[in-house]
Amino acid sequence: MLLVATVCWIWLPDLSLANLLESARPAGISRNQAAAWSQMVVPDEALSHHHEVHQIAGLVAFCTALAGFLLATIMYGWRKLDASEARQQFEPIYQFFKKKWWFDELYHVLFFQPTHSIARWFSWIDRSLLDGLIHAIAAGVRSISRTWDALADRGIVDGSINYFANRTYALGLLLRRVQTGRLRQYVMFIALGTVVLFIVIGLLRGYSFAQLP
Amino acid sequence: MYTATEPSALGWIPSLIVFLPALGALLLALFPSRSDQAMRIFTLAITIAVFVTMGMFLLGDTGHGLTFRVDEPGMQDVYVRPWIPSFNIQYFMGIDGISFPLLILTGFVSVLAMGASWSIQKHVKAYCILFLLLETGMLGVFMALDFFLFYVFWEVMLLPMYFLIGVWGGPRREYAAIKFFLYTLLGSVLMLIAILMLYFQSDVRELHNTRPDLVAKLSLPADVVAAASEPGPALHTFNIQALAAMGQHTQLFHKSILWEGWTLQHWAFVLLFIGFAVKVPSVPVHTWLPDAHVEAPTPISMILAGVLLKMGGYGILRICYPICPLGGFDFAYGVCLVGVISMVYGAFAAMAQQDFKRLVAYSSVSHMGYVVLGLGVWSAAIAHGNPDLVTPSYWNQGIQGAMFQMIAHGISSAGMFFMVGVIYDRVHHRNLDQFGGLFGKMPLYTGLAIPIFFAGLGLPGLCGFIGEVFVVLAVWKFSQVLAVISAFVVILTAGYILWALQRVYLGPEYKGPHPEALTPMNLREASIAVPLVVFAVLFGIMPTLVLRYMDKSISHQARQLTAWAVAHDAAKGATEGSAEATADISWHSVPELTTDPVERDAVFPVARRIRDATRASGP
Repeated sequence: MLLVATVCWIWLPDLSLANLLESARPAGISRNQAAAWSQMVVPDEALSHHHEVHQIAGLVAFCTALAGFLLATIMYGWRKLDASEARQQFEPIYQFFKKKWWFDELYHVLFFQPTHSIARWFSWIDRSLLDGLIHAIAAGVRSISRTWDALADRGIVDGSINYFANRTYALGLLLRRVQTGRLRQYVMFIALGTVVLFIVIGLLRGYSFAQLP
Repeated sequence: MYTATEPSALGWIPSLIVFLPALGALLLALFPSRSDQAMRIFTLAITIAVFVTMGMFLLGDTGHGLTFRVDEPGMQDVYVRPWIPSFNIQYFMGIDGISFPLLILTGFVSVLAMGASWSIQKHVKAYCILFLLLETGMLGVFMALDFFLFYVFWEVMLLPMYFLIGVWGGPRREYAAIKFFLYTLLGSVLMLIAILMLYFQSDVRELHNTRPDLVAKLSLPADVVAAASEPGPALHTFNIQALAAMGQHTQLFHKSILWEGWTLQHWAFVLLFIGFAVKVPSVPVHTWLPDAHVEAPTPISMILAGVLLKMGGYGILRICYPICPLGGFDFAYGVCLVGVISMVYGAFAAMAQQDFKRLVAYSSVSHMGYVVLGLGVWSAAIAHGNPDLVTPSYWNQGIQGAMFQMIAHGISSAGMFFMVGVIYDRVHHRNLDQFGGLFGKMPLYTGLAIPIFFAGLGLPGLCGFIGEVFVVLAVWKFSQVLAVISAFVVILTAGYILWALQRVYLGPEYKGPHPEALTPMNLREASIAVPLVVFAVLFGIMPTLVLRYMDKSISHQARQLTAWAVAHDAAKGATEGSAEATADISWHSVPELTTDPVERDAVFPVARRIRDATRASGP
């Protein structure tokens, strides 16, 4: 609708919508429209009631009606002319009238098709662009989440915990080698341990057990 | 905004009626699992009880104090109790002219939606419990006046909706449910950021310095009011009335953040507006709506379209504009543009749909665009030909049109979704190209559906017209281009709705699957449709039935914000007013706009200063 109005407004200045509406103003307010390309003068509507125009216009209208009446009588009353022959002879004009001046097709092209095109565009924008953006964001968040899970959770947090667990187990395995089962080795460990214990306590307490704490 | 009077003896009823559905949900847990019919009837009884209690307020003064005073612009039936005192959070509920029609609408649509829920067959107990919890959330949002409480109730609605769509919905229900949930949650998170920004910047002491008379009228806790008169650290509050007073009368929210000219108010307005715009829904954050509506079961669609969408508009009106008037003033054209784009976009997109319910969903997007547009037209006019008198008459008209459109759309949209649901229950498809000839097979149904769809179209004489025409008239003063586009959208709306009616109801025969299932409407369905048709016609020919409740509160708010704008312009030293928002106003003075003597005296000094300044400097 706006598209058509714009077309009429801008591209056809002489026959534009504005001028058309202007010509319906009361007498003396608007001006006659002169079309630059045809030198035709279109008087404004109020002037058509002045008696010099009025008489001739009325006469022309009446004579046109009379001519139509006469033609109809010739063709269908006196049967001097054949309607179907006239139709074949003036085929393009007949088609024009039959198709109601192609107004329906004009409306279809001017209003119906653009509106439906724009409607389909907006629906497409919704489904593909806006929803596509939402889905892309969602997919992005999911991939960040997967990467984060792999890197941070499984990599760093679980990784450090597993590392500690492995080292603890390795330490346990290492310490198993001390268990030889040989009694003399165990007695040696007791003796060595006692000596080391005395040395450590001596270092901490200054070589005297009698010292007060 | 202020609290009107001391609460009456029965003033606790409206705020505690919020929890009646929750209590019903609790009692439903005691029902045996297989007693489907008993549970449905019990739930229906609860919803009717809520609606009747709300409706009693309409009857006028019955001598018990249980009435809604239409001539009172402030908050009525206030219920205030301290909730989390260490953060100054109160359980603060109240009703005024803006929330009361929406509360009635909530009760009404809930009753009808429960009536439409008889076709739900699986997990009826869970459905009814979630339905009642949803109703609690909806009622709470409209009554909450503490920002924290408002946010809690806002979020309470999300979870029942997620399950209601995700369990009882159509083929793509999980996708639609999670999309709805995350989308609205994103908006809510932005709202939360704004809440925290405003909370930590608020200071009741500063308000006491500028307007000590107001501090007593905002229902703040007594110890806060007492402490406000003494110096000390900042006293933060979540109280919406207090925040509004701070936004309008103090410089607390005028701190520039990130770059010059963008104050905290601007940021808060933008964040809050986006949060509410997701809910409205406005383009471009509207894409959750078609999927949620299409996949939701019929009664949930009715509630979603009839009530939940209105919360976005209610939030913009109640929170965005009073608390952040500077943001609203500067972004007025942006808000209106968002509204107009929603209108045009929704109408065009509706025309391209082949799914009946999706078409109605996009029509909701389009109609809610009128609401946003009506709320945004910050324009006033010179009254009585006297350039010293400025009245916000156009903005008032716009807001009233927006509020009426909310009520009218609640009725017409709930009706449209119900009508689609009636045929979907029978033939299990919604393909517009495979309908036709329903007028012959289901005459009563068609006869009731056509007025409802015409109400959605905005036919004069039906409820949809009043809101549209007020909004379009109000926009003319604000921006003529937007007004022309808004009027043009009416043609598009007529186009897609009439085309849909032609394809579905008219025509010689039904060209789709299950033609034998097209039985006439039964009594239950008719009893849901008839009230909708009645109200659609009634509100169309007597809009004052709705407008009389909201008139005083809306006028009061528009006047308050206009007075703020005058003071704001005076402070900026501008005498020609802001370019884009005020077409032919000269912001000179605003006498006789308020009946509140304190407000008038507060405005007069400003007015006199402007008058003297302009007279001294010449015309």
